[in-house]
Amino acid sequence: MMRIKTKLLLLLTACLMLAGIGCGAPPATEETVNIAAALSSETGDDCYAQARLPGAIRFPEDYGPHKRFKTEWWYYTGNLKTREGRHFGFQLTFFRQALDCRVAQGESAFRTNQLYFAHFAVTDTQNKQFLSAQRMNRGSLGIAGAQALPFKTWIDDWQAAQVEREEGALRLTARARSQKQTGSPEFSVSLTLTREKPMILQGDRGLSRKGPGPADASHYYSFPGMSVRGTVTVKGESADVTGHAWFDHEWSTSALGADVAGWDWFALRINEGPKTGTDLMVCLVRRSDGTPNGYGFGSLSRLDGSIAILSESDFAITVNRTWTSPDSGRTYPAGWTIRLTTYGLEMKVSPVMEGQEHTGMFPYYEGAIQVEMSDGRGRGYVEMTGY
Amino acid sequence: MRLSPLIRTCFRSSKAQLLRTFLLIFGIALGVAGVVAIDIAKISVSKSFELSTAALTKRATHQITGADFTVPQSLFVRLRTHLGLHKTAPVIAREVLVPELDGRTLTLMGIDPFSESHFRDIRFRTGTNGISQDSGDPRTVMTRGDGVILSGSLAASGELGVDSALTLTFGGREVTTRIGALLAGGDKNPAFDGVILADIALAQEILGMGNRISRIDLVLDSDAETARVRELLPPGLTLTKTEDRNQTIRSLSRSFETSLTAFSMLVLFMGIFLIYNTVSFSVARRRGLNGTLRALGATRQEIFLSVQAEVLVYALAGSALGVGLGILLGTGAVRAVIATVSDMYYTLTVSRTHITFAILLKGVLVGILAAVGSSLMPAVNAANTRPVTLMQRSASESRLSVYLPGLTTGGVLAIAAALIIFNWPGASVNLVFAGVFLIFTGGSFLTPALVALITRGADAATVKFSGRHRLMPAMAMRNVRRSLSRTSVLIASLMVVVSVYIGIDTMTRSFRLSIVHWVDGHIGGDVHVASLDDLNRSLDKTLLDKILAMPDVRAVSAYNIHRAFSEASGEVHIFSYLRDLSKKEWTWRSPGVKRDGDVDRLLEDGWIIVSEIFARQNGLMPESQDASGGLFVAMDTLRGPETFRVAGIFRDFFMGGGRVVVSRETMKTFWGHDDITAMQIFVHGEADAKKSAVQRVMGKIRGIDRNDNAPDETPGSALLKIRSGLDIKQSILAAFDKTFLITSALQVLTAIVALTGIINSVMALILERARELGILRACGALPSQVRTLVLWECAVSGFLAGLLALPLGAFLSWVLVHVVNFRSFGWTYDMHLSGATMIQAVAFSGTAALLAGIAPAFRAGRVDIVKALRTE
Amino acid sequence: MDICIAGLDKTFDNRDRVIFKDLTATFRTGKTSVLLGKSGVGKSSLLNLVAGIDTPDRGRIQIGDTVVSDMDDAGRTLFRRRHIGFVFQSFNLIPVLTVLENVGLVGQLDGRPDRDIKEKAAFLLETVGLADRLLDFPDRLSGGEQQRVALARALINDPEIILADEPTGNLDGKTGTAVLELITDQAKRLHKTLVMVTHSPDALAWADEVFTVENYALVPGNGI
Repeated sequence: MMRIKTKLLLLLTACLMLAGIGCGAPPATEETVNIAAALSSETGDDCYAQARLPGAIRFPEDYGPHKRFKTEWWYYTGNLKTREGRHFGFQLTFFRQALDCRVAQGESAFRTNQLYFAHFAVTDTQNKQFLSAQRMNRGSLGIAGAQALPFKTWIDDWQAAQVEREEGALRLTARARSQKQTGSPEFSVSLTLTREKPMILQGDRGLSRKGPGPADASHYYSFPGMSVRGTVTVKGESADVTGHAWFDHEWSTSALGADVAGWDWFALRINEGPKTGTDLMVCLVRRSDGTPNGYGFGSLSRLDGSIAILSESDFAITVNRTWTSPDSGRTYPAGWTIRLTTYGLEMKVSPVMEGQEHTGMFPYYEGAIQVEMSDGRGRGYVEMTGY
Repeated sequence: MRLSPLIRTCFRSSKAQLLRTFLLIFGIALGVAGVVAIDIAKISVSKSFELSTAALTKRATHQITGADFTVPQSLFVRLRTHLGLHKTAPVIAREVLVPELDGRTLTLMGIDPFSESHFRDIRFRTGTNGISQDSGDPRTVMTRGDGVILSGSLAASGELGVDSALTLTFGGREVTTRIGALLAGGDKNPAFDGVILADIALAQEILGMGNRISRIDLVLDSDAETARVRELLPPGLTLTKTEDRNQTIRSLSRSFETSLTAFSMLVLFMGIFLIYNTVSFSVARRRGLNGTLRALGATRQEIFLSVQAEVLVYALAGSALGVGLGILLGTGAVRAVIATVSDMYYTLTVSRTHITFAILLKGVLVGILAAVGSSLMPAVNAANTRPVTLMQRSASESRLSVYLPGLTTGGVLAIAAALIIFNWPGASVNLVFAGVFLIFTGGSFLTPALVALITRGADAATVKFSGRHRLMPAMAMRNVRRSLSRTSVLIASLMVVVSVYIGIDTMTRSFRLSIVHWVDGHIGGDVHVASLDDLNRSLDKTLLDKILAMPDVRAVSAYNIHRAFSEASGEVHIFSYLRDLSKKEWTWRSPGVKRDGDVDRLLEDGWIIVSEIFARQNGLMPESQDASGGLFVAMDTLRGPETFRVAGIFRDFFMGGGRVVVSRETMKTFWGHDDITAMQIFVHGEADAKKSAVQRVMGKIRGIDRNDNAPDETPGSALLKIRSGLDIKQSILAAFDKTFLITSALQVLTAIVALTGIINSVMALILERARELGILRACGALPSQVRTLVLWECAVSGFLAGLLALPLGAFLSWVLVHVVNFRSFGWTYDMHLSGATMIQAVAFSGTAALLAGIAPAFRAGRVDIVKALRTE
Repeated sequence: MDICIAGLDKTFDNRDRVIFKDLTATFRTGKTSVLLGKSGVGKSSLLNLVAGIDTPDRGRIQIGDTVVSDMDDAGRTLFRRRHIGFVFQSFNLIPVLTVLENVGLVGQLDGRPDRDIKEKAAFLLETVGLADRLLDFPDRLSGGEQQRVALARALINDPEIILADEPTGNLDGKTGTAVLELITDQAKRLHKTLVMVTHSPDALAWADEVFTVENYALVPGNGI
């Protein structure tokens, strides 16, 4: 999946670094630029590695970071509910960005050419609350990093780590402190994710093409339908939850071409009806004029673990409704119909609540969605950028 | 307008007296300039402190620092990964000297740019495409450690730019790096004017700090968080509120502000006196003209207003000139003060000259008010001038004798009021300054009576011996008395200036004497040994025995130091001695303590002794002791807060929050140090024998150091800092002298003020007496004899001013020493009134007056007899 | 000593105002000469020129064997204080000096021994009738007394010449007459050359010679 375009990723970085209050901060003045933003300006890609070979992914090494590639992320999204049926959505993403393709020289343990940052969000559907927080650290000294064996990626005390000796189980922990400036309360998750289904190597054996250029590709694999168990705490109130999550790990250097504006990405799981246990991911890459660039992609994982890799021709997404953010003023789609004729699927998709937008200098929408079908229901996550 | 012809007449008359008009304007200008300059210095120092502290620690609520100036970086990692405190930033900061920037002291500051968003806002200029081209490449600088970042204005001051080489000197080491990028200048990064910014990795490598950093800045939102951080702290590390820490720095700033305020007051007084002196003479010399105008029908009001209008014009001109001059002087003063503060006390990363409109306005107002106020009496006199036809000679003199009793009474009352203020313990600093002003005013009011008294007395005592040799001095003295209304203004102004000179000189001298005394007592060792290694200050245990074994060595005082922060007094240094050989001056001792040996015994029992500053900041006053004479103070220890009993309070000039001396056992128990970090070595012999012994001992210690630490004998790898006591003493005194540079400047200013004022007055006086000098010439006095007479008059005035300045100066010294300095720095020291200063002051006063008299005397010698006799 | 003036020219105000033109005159030793003339005609100027206080534009002033007009200022000053006594209209005593000191001043300026001066001054003051006022300051004296002091002062160095510029001008008639008498009497007794400018008709009674200043010159007689 090519979720976040490099350029936009960089912008995200910049806005994260601004001031102390994350993306709520005013943009830099015209004449000057903050040091952190200055550090994220683009450099040549000449000495980075490029994603070009299908079938190159090996485990367990590829659980870990690929520092010679410019960008990389470990992406966890999922829908949870309490015993009483109260719904929560969560997103925890660890990004890695190389600041320089050359290896850092020098004896100080602070030396690094890697930058890590993370986004953490909880959607509290019952209270119509969307809570989000960010972290960013240099990838040295042990304050942030990623490793393959045992798998772990972390920033400060936020982490996704393999549960001891169980390759298929993962512990996610993140706690966002209350923020005086935004009035955002403290919230946290402590979740155990267990692999229930086979991994999907996206695209051509893990090489996912995003555009016509030879370098417009990423290495990309996913764990669909991971079962989740744990607690969600909002404002000191903890709730035991269960549910399902989707995991992506993707790395690349220059995956997207110049005329790409953004993308719409969906990950859904059917949990009622005859198709219960089906996990679907579809993504459209949009050009500046709003039309798909023809390199849309997706995958389908059935209950029995069988997998189908999808291309843009396999699915159609139509927008039924839109929503305009009062914070950023951007208008996002807020209701879709997704059809996969070949697989006999037609679903109406809508956000569980409005306003699941990460606001700030580079706003994007990452929110929990609900799925209605003639013969069932489901939950999922949508990500929309470039609006 | 009816006034205009009068004013025109006045100006014509001024035009005819160009030199004196110039002196009048210059006099006002000088007064205003002094006030403006010191004010600029004061506010700039204050602002620089504020910006330097506030901006660099702006949003941090707390800091973690270590007793050995470092913090392990693993603590930072634990704060992040265990406690999840992401609003934390690792900082490396160290003062370095940069030869490329005039050897300025700057702070090399290593930061983690990605941790900074909660703390500091560091900005670069943007160009058309991201960072502007001439700002360098902060990206590679920070991510690859490709050099350091400087503020654009700082680099420009040394004509440096991107890629220039930069040498950083510190602790005997020298590292060359390059300027990789420039920060946006101006107000975008005001806090970084005196900072060399680097990625923390590079700073760590440059300073060779291994895996340690200087401090951790934190934003802690709750007490619970604070408690959690405290739990995590290993021994030797302290969590302090930034506020408290800045408080100590701000109190240092206030010290300088208070002393500068005192100086600014003195300059203000002198300025007012100078202006009064100048203006009143200028108006008085117009008496004849005004008499004629009155005879021609000008009313009193018209004369009054025309005088005031003229003075106002000169006041404006003088104030404008003064403001310009003040800015010039002030800029110099700012540079001097800030360099002093940065070199000696606290590195000010921001050094801006702040010139506010308020300061300039105040300067202009002082100039105008003083000038117009000064001309009030003369203007009233001028208005009361009788028409020339009715004029009597020495009319104003007879008026003075009418005022004399009133003036004298007023003077006595003013001095009495001032004494009441000074004896009132609750008087604020401002009230004290008001008291000083009262004393000056009172002294000036008493001047005519005193001058009359002294000259009359001298005359009466010598009148029988009248003779050729006495003639000139006697005539001069009587001339002074005869024109008392003029000469007493001159003498009073000179007296004020000279007393300021005495005050400043005595303060500086007394302070220096006390410092010398203290240095001799406390840093009295002949050789000092400490570790060059910032990270590990402990000395080799065997070193002490090796040194003691040297035949030249008489005794060794070995000790260690723990740095602690307390909310009451900020940074406190706790010393524990293996053998304390310092001689202390006690300001208080626990009852029962008679000899220093008793103190040592009490220290062994867990008591402590503290310095005066520590005592004051912790409210340890002799009055606060309990019934049995016990004084107690609580300090943070490894075991939490502990209460210690104080055995004595000693006088100390250590900067910061003061010193505490404890026994070795107490140090080990409560602060966990059992090492030796420094030694003072005393050697045998006297004078030259001692000198060579010191050299031998230093050489031997160097030998031990090399053998132990650098078997390959590579030069420069020695780890000991070995200095002779003399060397240390000299550098301390050099630092002291540098600190008081501005007072020396002030003394020069007093001299200029004195000269300007007196030249003006003497010229006015001589001009008024042209006729009398003409008679002398007609009677056969040679020009040289007339010159001699004038010079005698000047000398007499100057001498009298100097004489009267003695008690006033002594008093001012007392105020500066016991009120201003105590309130500024918390130091007390004995006032040493030196006879030399007194003689110097009288000599200075007489000489200044004599010098001022030279030009008028020559003019008097050339007086046109015919014209002089004709003028009636 | 005779005072011989020959071919004297004097102008003021940048030669715009002519005072004397080719003035020639002789004042004889031991004689009392009185100068008359209208106000502003140059009577006082003539005395100033003789005293060396002022210098002529042209011409020659000779006193005894000394050509005063050829001397520099210092020379003239020294000559003045040794050979000329000056009495002013407004006394011109030095207010800060005692009567005794005022009289002694000129002698002291000349550097004579203190004792001599003191004795001489006391003697002179006794002569003018002020023996009991030696230590008073001038402002304690009446006008007539002040002028007597001035006369004593003029005599302290035993000058051969006394110049008096309206010595009675500031005194009332009776006092004036007394002072006039004292001056001329002293001059006569001590055989001084006295040149006196005056308006007082009494003075003529004591005069040996009378001159009038008119038409830029000195003419003998009272000009009537």
